[in-house]
Amino acid sequence: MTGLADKFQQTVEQRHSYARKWKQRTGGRVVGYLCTYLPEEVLYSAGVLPVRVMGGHEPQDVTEPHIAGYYCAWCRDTLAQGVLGRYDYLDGLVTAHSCMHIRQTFHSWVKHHPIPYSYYMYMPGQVHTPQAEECLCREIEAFKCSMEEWVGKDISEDAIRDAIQVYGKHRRLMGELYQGRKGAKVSFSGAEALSVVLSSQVMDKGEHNQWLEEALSAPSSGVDAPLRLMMLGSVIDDVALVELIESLGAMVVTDDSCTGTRYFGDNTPLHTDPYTHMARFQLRKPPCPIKDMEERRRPAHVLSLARDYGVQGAIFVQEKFCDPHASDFPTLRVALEQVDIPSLKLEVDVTTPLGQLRTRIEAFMEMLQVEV
Amino acid sequence: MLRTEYPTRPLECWPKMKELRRTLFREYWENQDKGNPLMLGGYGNLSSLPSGVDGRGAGLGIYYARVMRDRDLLLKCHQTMDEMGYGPEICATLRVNLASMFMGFQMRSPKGKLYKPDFIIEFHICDSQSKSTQIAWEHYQIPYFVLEIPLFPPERVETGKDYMVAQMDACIRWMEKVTGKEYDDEKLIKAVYNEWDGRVLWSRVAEFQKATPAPLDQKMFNSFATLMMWGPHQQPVTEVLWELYDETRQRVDEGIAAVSTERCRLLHEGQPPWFHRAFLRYPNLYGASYLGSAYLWGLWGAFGADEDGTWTVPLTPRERGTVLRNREDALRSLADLALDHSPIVTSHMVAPQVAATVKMVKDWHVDGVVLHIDRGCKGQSAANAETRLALREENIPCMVYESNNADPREFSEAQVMDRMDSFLESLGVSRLEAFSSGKDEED
Ligand code: SF4
Ligand code: SF4
Repeated sequence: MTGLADKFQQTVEQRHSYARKWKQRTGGRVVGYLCTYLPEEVLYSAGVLPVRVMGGHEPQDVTEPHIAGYYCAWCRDTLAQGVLGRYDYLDGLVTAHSCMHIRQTFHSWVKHHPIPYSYYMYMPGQVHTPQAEECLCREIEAFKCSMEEWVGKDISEDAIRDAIQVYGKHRRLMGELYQGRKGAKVSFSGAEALSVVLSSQVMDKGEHNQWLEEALSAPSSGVDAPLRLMMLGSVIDDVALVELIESLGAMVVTDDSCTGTRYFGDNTPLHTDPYTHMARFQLRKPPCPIKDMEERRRPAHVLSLARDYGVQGAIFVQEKFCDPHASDFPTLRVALEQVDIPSLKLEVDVTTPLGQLRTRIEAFMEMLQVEV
Repeated sequence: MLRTEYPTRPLECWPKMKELRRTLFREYWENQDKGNPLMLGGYGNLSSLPSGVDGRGAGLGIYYARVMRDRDLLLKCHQTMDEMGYGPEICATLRVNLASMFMGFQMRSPKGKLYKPDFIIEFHICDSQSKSTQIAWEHYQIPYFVLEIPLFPPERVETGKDYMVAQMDACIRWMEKVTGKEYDDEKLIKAVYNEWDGRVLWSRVAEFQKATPAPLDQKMFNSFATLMMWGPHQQPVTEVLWELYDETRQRVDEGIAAVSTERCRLLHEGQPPWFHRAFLRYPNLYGASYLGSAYLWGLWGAFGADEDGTWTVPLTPRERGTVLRNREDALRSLADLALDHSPIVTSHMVAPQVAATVKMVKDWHVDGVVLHIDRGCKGQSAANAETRLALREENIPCMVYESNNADPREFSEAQVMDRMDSFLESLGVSRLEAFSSGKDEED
C-alpha cells in the first residue's frame, strides 16, 4: 500500500497541521489525551477531535524543572511538547488514570501552560473485577457530563451510539489490517501498520475509516517475511526504528503495545448500554502492565499473538525508566523462551540512537537466522 | 548568632515502644502456629481488614530495616535482582524485599523455621507496590488479592469510596474462601475504631511539632512508624500512641526539645537514605532539626486537606459519636479514612502534595526544606520537582539532592553532605563546635 502508507505516515508527521486544519474546517474543538485508556467515543460524540499527544524524539532541556530525569522518557518527551508550545492549538487536555509518570506530565502541563479545559478520569486498575466495571461506567458518565458542560450542549444518546459505531468499525478494520499480516505473505509491513495506528490516534476516526477501507480494498499479494518478529513495549511510536529492523531482513508482523494491538483491541459488541460497552472495551482490551494485576493475562495474550502471527523472535522496546514494563519483562521473556522464541531488549530514551541499536539488532537477527 | 539552649530528655515511652515492636515481631511468626493466617503485603494502611480472620501482615519486607543496616547484604539484594532481570527502574524498597524472598530469608523466622505465607493482600496505591507483589505471588503460588485505593479528585470522591467499599466487601468474601474461616465483623469494627484512633493520634503528635522547640524529631517519628506499619488497628499500638501523645503534649508545655540547640527547623521530603543511619541527625551539628515531612506524617496520619494545602486533623468516629453498627458501616468508614483523610493517597496526584509542603512550611514554622529526588521511589518523589518550583516561588529556601533511599550505590555521601553544609550555612546557621552527632542513637 505504498501510496497510502505515505499518506498515513505524512499525517503522523504533520499531525499538528492536520489538527489545525480540522479545527478551521469544522470549527470544532481539539482535545489532547495522554493515555489510550481514555474512552475517545465521549469526545467524538461531543464533536471534539481527540488527539493523542505524542513525543517529538528531539533532544530537549525543558522538562527537568518539572519531572526528574528518572521518570520515563515518554512522559518527559510529551511534556516537552506542551512546554515548547507544539500543541498550542489544543482546547483541552485529558487523561485517564494510568501510571505515576504520565500523571506528572498532566499535572505540570495543566499547571504551567493553562488550557481552557482539563480533566482527569479515573480508570480502575483491577480491570477484571465487576466492581471496576461499575466504577468505570460512573466515571465515563461523569466525563460525558463534564464534556457537555464544557461544549455547552447535551450529548444525545444517538450521538454516543454513533460514536460507538464509528469506533467499532475502526476496530474491525484494524483487525482486518492485522489479519493480513498473519499468513506467509504479509500484506502490511510493521512500519506501515505502525503508521496506520499512529495516524488513527491523531485523525478524525470517520475519515481514518475511509482511508483504511481504501487501504484494505487495494489489491495486494503480500510479500514474504524472511523472519517474523513481534515488538513489545509501552509506546512504540518510532517508525524509523521499525523501518531499520525491517531493512535488516525481518518483518514485524505484530506487536503488544499501546500504539498497536493494545489500542484497538477487538470489535466484540460488549453491551447494549453504551456506557457499559465503553467501559467493557477499556477493561477487557489487552492490558498494559499497569492494568494487569493479580493473575497475569499478558503472558497468555502475548503467546497467543506469537502463535497466531507465526512469530520467530521478539523485540522488547523498553522506555528508559518505565517501571511497569520493566517489572513485566522477566516474566514475558521467560514465557517466550518456553515456546522457543528468543528475545532482545532495546532501551530507548527521548531520542533513539538508531546507529547503536542497529548493531544489536543485526546480531540478534543473525542468531535468529541460525536458529531458523 | 546566639545559641539557644533548651532542656531535653529522652522519651519515657521509648522503651515501651521498643518492647511492643519486639512483641509484634514475635507474634507475627507465631500467628500461623496458632492456626491464624500469615499474610504478605499491605504496609499498615487498611490494616483492619484482615483482622476479621486474625490475619497478620507486615508488607513484603519484615527484614527491611535489618537489611538496611547491613551494607553487604543490601548490595547482595540489589545484585540478585539485577541478575534476575528486574532492573533499577523498579522501586528500590521492593527490590530489596523481593530479593529477601528470592534469597530465601524473607519468611525464615529468627528461630530458623521457614514459613509459607497463607495469602497475599496488596493495597494498590503506588503501581510499583502491586506490580511487585505480583512477583511475590508467582514465587509463593498462594492466593492473592489486590485492593485498589483509587485516586479521585474531591468532587467525584464518592465514586471512589463506593468502589473501595465494593472491593473490600469482595476481599472479605475472598478471605473467608481462602482461609475457610468465618469473617468476624465485630473484630473488624473494633479494628476500624482503633485504626482511626491510631492515625489521628499520629497526626496530633505531628501537630505538636509546630511548637518551638519541637518536642520530637523525624528520627523519633521513624522509630514509632514501625508500629504503624504493623497496624494501628491493634489496641496495644494505639495505647502506646496515646502515651506518645500525652508525653509529647507535656514536652510542649514544658518546652522540652528533641534537639537542645534547635535554632533552625527543616522538613525532609521523600524517603531518606535508610541505609545511612546518621543522615537525619546530621543537621543537628548546626543546631538544625528535621521536624518530619509531609511524606512521613501523611503516610500514617489522618489529615483532611484544604485546597490551599492546609492540613487539619479530623475527629475520629468515636469522637464524632459515629456508631459503626455493621460491616458496611466499618468498610465505609475505612473508605472515608483512605480517600478523604489520607494525604499519602492524594499525594500521588502531585498537586495536593505540592500545596501541602508549601503550606506546611508556614504552619510548622519551617526554615528550609530538603527534597530528596529519589530514584528508588518513583511514587513518593513524583511531586518533588514541582514542589521545588513552588517553594522557590514563595522564596522558601530549599535544597535538592538526588539519590536512592535503598541503594547506597547511588548515594554520594561527600557530595550530599557538602551540599547540606552549604545549605545550612545559607540559612544563617553555623557549625556548633561543642555539639557532636557522631554517635547515632539506637532506633
Ligand atoms: S507505562 Fe511506561 S512508558 Fe508509559 S507513561 Fe508509564 S512509565 Fe511511561
Ligand atoms: S511509593 Fe515508593 S516505596 Fe512505595 S511502592 Fe511506590 S515506589 Fe515503592
